[in-house]
Amino acid sequence: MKNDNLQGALALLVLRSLAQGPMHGWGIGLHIQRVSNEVLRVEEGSLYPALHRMEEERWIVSEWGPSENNRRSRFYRITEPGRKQLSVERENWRRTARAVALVLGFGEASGVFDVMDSRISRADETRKALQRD
Amino acid sequence: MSWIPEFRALMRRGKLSREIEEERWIVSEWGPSENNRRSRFYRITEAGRKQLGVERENWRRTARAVALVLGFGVAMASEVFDVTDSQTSSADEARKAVRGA
Repeated sequence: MKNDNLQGALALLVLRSLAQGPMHGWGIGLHIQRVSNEVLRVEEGSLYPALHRMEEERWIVSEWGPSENNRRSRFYRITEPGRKQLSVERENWRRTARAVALVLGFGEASGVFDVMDSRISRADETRKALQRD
Repeated sequence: MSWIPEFRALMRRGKLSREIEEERWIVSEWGPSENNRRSRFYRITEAGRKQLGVERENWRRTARAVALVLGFGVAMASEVFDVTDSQTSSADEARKAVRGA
């Protein structure tokens, strides 16, 4: 998959990043790069137009605030409609990736994808239980 | 992912097969279809197989990275996307293990 094919997934990656908390543009790029084990690199030339479009869709809002080095930076925050969009598109992505994986012959992807969510919710339960203790 | 609708749109316009034919990844010829009408048949070339190998691996790498960012968990990302053809049986075992867990 070439970089320009990633454009459609970019909004999704940004929404997921902002679901962890508000970040400035530079921080979003860094987050995506780090969590993807340096595989995904978001160029500023595509990030800022994407942020602008997402703000127009009201999936995110932004405001000025101080960054770590005490310069003024624009901070982005996910909205309720943004969270809704994230959950719909995340599921769409999973469905499509699973389907493509099957066609490309990457094993019986469906089984793994199906159990994945239950494993995650189990992990969440475990985490919550640990937090209670 | 944006390239799926794009792919469909290209197919509708018949542009995709022309483009990949121009790259010599496939060749085509006329032949009889099941209902005995003449249809264009497509066949992959050696260059096409090479391209498939490269792009299949690119897709796996990228999809795995996106899965990680989307929080689908390391286990899922590696179980699905670290699988190669030779490892299909071990993937099956992994899947059974996951189900059993």
